[in-house]
Amino acid sequence: MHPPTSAHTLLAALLLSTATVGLLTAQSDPKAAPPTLEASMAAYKGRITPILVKHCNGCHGSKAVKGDLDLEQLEPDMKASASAARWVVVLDKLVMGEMPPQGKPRLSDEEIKAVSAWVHGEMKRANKHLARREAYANGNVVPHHLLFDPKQNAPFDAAARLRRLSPDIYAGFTADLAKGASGVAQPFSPEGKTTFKDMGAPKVDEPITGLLIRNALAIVTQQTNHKMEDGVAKGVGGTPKEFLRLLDEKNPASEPEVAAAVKLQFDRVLKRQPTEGELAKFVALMDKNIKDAGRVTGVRYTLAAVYLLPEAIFRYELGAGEADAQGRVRLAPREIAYALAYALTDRRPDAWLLADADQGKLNAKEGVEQAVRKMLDDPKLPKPRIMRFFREYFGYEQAREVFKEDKDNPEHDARALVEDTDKLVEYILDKDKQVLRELLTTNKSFVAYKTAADTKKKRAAELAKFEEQKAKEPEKFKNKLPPRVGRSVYTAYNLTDFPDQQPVELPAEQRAGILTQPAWLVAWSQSTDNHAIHRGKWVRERLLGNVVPDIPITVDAQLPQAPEKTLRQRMAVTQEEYCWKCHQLMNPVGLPFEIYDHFGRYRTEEVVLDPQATEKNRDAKGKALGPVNRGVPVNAAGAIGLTGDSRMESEVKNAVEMLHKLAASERVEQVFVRHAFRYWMGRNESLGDAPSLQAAHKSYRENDGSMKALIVALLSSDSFLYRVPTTEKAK
Amino acid sequence: MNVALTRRDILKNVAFGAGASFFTPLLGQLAAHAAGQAPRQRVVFVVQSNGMSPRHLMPSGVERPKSGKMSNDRLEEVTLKDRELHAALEPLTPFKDRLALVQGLSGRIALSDHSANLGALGCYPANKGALAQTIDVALGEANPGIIPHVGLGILERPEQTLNYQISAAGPGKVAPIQCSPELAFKSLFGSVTGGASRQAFDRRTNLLDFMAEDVKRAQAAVAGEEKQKLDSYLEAFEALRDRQAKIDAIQNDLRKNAPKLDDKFKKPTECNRLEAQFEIAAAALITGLTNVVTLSSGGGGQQYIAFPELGIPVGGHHYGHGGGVPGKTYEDCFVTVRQFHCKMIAKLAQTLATVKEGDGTLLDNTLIVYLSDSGDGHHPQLHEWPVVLLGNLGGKLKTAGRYLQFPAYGSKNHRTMANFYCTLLHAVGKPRDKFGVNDPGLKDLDQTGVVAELLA
Repeated sequence: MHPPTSAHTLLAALLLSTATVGLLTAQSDPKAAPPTLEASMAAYKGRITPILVKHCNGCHGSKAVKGDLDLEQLEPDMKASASAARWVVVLDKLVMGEMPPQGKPRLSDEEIKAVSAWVHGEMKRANKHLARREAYANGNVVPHHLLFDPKQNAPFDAAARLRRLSPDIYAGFTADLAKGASGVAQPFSPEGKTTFKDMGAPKVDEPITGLLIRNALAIVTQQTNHKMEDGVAKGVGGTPKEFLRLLDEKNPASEPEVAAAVKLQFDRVLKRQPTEGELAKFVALMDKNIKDAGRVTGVRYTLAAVYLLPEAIFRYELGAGEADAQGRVRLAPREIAYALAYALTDRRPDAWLLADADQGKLNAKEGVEQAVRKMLDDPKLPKPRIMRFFREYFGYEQAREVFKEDKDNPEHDARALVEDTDKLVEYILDKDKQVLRELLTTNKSFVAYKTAADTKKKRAAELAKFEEQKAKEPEKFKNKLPPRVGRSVYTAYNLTDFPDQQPVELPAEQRAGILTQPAWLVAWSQSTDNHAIHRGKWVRERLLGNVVPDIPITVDAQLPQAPEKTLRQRMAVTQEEYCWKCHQLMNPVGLPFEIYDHFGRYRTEEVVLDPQATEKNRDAKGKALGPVNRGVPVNAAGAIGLTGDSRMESEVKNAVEMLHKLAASERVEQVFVRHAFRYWMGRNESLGDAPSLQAAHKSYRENDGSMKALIVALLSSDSFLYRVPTTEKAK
Repeated sequence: MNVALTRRDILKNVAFGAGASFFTPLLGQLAAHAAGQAPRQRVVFVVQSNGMSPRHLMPSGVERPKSGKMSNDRLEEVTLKDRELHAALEPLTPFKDRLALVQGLSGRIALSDHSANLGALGCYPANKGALAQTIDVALGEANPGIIPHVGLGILERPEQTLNYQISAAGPGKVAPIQCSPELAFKSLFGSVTGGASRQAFDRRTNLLDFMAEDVKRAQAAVAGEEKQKLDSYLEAFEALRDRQAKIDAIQNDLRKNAPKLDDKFKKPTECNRLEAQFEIAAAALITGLTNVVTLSSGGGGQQYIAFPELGIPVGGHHYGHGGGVPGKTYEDCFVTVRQFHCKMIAKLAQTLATVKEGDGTLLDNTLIVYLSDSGDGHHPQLHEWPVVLLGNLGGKLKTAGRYLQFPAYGSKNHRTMANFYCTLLHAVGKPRDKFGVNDPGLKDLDQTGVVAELLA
């Protein structure tokens, strides 16, 4: 992704990229045509104005204009004005129940519905596509001190749910079953507006379903691969005999044989046997299909249907059995087995885990803990979901998406930098002690660890060859340099060569953990400069646990184009009162990273344009020879403030000092636990999750900052195992 | 005006209106015209691998510096009238007055070695997968036929049936290009042919029915928001079933217009396969199955086609690196292969021109966009991305015999492929002013908006 030039548009792009995705899904509903101008304005006058007069205009109208919002003046025609962004905020406040303020009567459901319908219709007519940040994206809105209040006793409210498989799980699923079938494509994509990728409530729409059908048929074609010899189907490439029997023309399969094939397909796809009802339906479908469409086609379409059952597309977390005194039901044992498998891996549960479920071993918390430990301790079980958490939490993987000009730094190799940070995370997880503190403070680093030794060897060999040739023909090689092998990735870490031992210790005053790794710094940079605002936003949200309000969408402030100024100087525009309300949350915790350049190299000077020297830089004829730069001492001062926790607040001279301070804070640790919670539950926390969160944090602390302990605690928590059913009755 | 049209009327109409018509326009199309609605707009993308030399676009009398590098800071335009097309484009000569040969739009953001992949139609980095929807799918959505977007193409080996490197439905979602004419035929026209195709088509209907029933059953077990997720899944099956029903409803038209399942499908030479796909495309457009088709010939990293029937038994990589074949220089190879593609395009245009629509023909409401997924060459620079436009999309574009050299990369009036794609979205009534990812090399340029000179 290419970052746009201004800070605000960047932030807007970040937030609005979600809107694009929303738009794409919205477009698949062609039924809702936008209203005409007349209809929309009539609806506004007839239905919306009375609601606003009743509930809002007392504070936001001609009598009083609180919060700089006058609804009587806010233009309803969003096409002819720039009012859409404000209307979205208005709607958001109403829907989230933030307005009208406490003590005033709420809008009725009908009224909210009416306002929502009108705003969305008018936006559609105006061709404005603004998405508010969904609840899934803004988990910090739940006040931190309430969540970690030991007396917190808000009711448990984790709703029963169905979750669409993640793209990774679907890929694992088809890889298990397809065995090289061609034409299987990924139908799913992350929703895009959530803190973590596998969150939210993505829908399975028509284009996706079309692909699912195509994939199912491709896999089944592979599963039933055969050739006919005298009317007898012979398997090709391990086709199961149950399926071959179905294809036999000469001696057609009997009903029990059809049932056996259906059972086999259920076992393969769903890892369970069909119920009697299901079996009867599938046998009937098979019969009908073969009669109508001939044997091969009929068989394939019938077997493909198993892949399309909702159970094969969605993760079921509905719970089963009687509700307890708090109105909660526990997930069914098999639901727990699937949830545990998908928490750590992208594969369906192993046989032992399903057996545990069937034998009732997951019915108690201890059994679940044991199962999780067993998975964590099994070195042969790949657990990609753990690394993925850290990648998504820190976001350093994005370094590969940030476009950098090769000419600005030919040694830059984003892929190697990301691999190094991956490796560092793995290294810390391997030790499993004070994981977060290490992640935020270690001065150890890997340096192009995959290729360093090899490149070094090749370079030495090339150099030797070069020297040898030079010795033979000194004249010819006089002005030549030895050939370049690979990129000098070590320069990103301010080293002079590839280290022989990995990890290497970097100067402790220069580096402190992941946020000072070049991968992270590049990920949160632009193509030609640092991005102090994004970095600050990251620290503010993911370590301090505060909420950075959405950028007002109408704001299109640009950082001035002033190459003679430092980034800090150019960011001075954000200190205007209107901007500073939000920027005070980001700038002071983002600017400390100015001790690095946008390739992640530690620096003491920032390079800016020297206009005078440039002006003088001319040849004898007066022709300009190009820009001249100069170094300005780096000012990386910042402050940890406005956190809601006075114990941690202080001024800092740079990122290294700031990170050591943050790493020592209990609140930061809790915010980290909140993020882990979101990732592993696939949703944001609510006050009802307070006991689960507090227990998870306690377990992490008592086990010397063990990630494993944290994961065990989360996956055996009530929040993971219980649901409040959303039956019509319960409503 | 509400005219009840009968099939007899239509046939009469066709017979009187256009004696040469051998394709029957759809009832719906004529009715729409009678009711005063604007005819549907169709767009065809022809994406050919291995680059398109800017020189192939230059008509007689037009020159450029020997280095090939342009430095004009204003649009330079000449008319194609009284000029001859380059030999490579010669088969398009009958359509000269509907052509715009467009030079100088850049696409550096998608720069990669042999193909911009999805970035060609998406205007984003070549090697990052599906970052966003590509223009063809976007146009299909803007103006949907029964099937919003149809992708047809060929790859080197006949058994490679799908190409996922050309079109994308959205972030992370590729849109397949069906590279087997036979499978493409079956899925589009299977309902009207006998035998196995028809049966597969019916079975799909059966499957959709079965699934819809099953999802309904599953819904009974859940409530609230979770039920809505299943609603959406159910709706998907129902929508697919509806589409199937719509296809069934236009069976007569499909049957009349379906290409013949002849040797072209059976004998899978490269030329035959490509020709077959062009014929399927024509039929899909004429019957209203779709309004947007992407036709790809190779395409995606290193996916080249050898054309032994054209005397070029080697893939594009060979002559892309300056290798000739007996009797042909590398440039001859490029020209020969391009001529063949232009012949296919000309034939498609010819076919569409025989279908009466409104006061004109279907071609009048069509735009064919011909370009390479590798821009200006085998090893592209993408400072310019040559594009051949045929047709004006129902008068929305100015393409009547123009050669256009847009301001060079880096100059202040420079325009990009993203601007071009925005132009197309404006032309189909779904205006957008930003498409894809900005080119960081043009950070001082406003990269939003359309290519105004192309809009009518």
